[in-house]
Amino acid sequence: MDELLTDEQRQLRESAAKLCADLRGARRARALRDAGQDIDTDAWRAIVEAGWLGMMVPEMRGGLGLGAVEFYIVLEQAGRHAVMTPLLETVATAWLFGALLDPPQALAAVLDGERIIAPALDADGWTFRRGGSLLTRVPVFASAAHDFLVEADHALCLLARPSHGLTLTANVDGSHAGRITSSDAAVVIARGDEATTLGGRLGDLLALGSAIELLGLCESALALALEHVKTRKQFGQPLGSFQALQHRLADNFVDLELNRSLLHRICLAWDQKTVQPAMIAGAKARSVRVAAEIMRNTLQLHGAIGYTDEHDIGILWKHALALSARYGNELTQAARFARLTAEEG
Amino acid sequence: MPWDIASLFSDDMEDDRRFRAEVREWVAANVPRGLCHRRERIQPPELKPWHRKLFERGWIAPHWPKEYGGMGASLTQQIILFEEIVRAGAPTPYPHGLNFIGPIIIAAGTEEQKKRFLPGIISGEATWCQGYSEAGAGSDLASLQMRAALDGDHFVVNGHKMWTTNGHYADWMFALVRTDPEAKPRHAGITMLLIDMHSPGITVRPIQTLKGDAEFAEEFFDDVRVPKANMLGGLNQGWRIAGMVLGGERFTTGHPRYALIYLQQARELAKRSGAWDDAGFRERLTALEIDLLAFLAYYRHAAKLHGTKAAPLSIAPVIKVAGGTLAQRSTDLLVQAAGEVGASAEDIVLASGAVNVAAELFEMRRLSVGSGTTEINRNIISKRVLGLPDAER
Repeated sequence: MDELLTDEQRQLRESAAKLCADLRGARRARALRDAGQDIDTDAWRAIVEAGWLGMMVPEMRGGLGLGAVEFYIVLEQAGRHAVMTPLLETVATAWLFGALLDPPQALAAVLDGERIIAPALDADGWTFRRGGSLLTRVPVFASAAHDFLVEADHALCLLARPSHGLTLTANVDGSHAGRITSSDAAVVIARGDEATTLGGRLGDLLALGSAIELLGLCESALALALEHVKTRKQFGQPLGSFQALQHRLADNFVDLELNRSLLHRICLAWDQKTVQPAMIAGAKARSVRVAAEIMRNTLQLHGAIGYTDEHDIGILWKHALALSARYGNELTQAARFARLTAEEG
Repeated sequence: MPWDIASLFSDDMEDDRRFRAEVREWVAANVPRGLCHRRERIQPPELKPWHRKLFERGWIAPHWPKEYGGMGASLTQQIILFEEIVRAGAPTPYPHGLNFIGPIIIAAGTEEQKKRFLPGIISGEATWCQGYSEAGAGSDLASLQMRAALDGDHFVVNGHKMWTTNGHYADWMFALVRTDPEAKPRHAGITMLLIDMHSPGITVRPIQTLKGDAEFAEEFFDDVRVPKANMLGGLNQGWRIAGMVLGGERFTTGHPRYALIYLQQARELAKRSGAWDDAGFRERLTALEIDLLAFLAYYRHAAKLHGTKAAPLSIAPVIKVAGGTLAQRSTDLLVQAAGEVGASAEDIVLASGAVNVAAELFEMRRLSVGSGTTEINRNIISKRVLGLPDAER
């Protein structure tokens, strides 16, 4: 995809690559997990300074006014270096706010990185199952969020972090999911058709972004495995000289090439307003499937060291599991793809 | 927006869209109905009038330079032409002359060779075959043995070629022959010869394929005299010359259209056979449709890069591995869709046309063997793209 980027996009990729690489990737993710922190605050500061949070917000509303291709460029790098921040969630929420006829006042604080809003919507942009009180799941950043973006009665609402009724569960990569039971009043930010349409597109953007992060993560895992098999010797030969292993790595490469094209094309379609939700459902499903295959293979190629907490490949795998589970896993998104293509076809 | 997978991710520009519309209209009016939606391979003699029509319209070789009768067109237009012909259910012209040897003659032939051979290739008058494989030289092509020894202004050719598509219909063969048996490396002793298949000393025997038709043949050469003027490129330059085949060929053999058609047929057939009621069937169909979506995106991307400096080396092997696997798995699913008649040798009639599931299953095996096996393509990716080492000896 890199071959088709404009000069500005190429520059963005270079600066994103540098910024994300400086954050020290998997090593940092491990330290955060051990400290029980959801968010890498140093990384967050650097991201806020770079202005990325408002990348998809129109300039007149305080953002950079960029498109989905730039979103792809930045998230691929964030995934590659396992950057543990609510980058995707914030870019997507800020996009939503900026797209509303009447943007919420919270937008400025969101763009400054001061107010973290965790989306709690399912793959179709819906959330709430309701009893007398609100009940919903927050897939990630439940412990750091100031507010939760929820859907109730076909309206999109902001729910302030409740004083009671938020239960946190740790994910394997150190991030935190949550479960909210709340009867607090939520602030409506969009209703009716606007809420339905934009809520659905927010769900799409989150699924798309998590697929792009998975792509970057898989690129890193493949690079680690290639480095390992080129240097590690057994039977007097580098592991990478054995054809059985070469062909598995070749298949991993082919699968990633296809996903890279698919995700890039979807982002182009998003910018040209020809994107269809089925494309994103298919892309997330395939990204999760391919990530599972690549993580299985690259971990295996590392042998015993891959089974240790010390080696980065395991950290990448755990982060891949977390990215795979949120915003629709393989089977959820595949079923959605089947439903959407049947409806649209 | 309707879900029309074939049109997704299109790069057609305004003039491409015009060209597509023009081709679609012309094909609809001119395609010989008798050749459409045929399950068996159409042999060269029956295909000739259709080739001729495309030639007369000026569309037979979009990728050739204008001075040799082509359109000097982009790969996009070449793909559009291919897509519209396939869309009408019509056969596409054979690639051996137009896509394989034609462009090599244009790039490496003498003026005399261009004048002599190109007109017959583009008009379809001469049928060409590719003489590369031998009984002992398949994936390891450089081990080929067919001998050509210089005798005055002729080569004397002795040996055997095999797995030659259209060998039994060909007027001409472009052959890789051994001119230096002692050469090290072996590639350095190979020459490209253009051989008149009507020469004395050639015996051709058709080979029946798995699918049941005689697609390819073997040829025995017994003291066949080939004029030195028919040598393409220099003596012992054959390996390099053969490498000049344009990678554009992959864009037709590896086109996502095949998988697309099979998956549509599988869906239709499954609804009739009852396979549709199985969650397992639908799950596998969905997985393949998602793979098709991804492959289509890759294909469009690769076509856009093809021929530019930015085009990575990996394009041809990725199309080969991913496209071949996808098309084969799609025919596997087609067989499942047929249920208990999955092994039938007969056509099954659907609303969209007849389908012979076993014939398609067999036909698609070609994709993982012909023009470089998937294993050879995985080797290329491993070594040249991923930089994995050879074994230390």
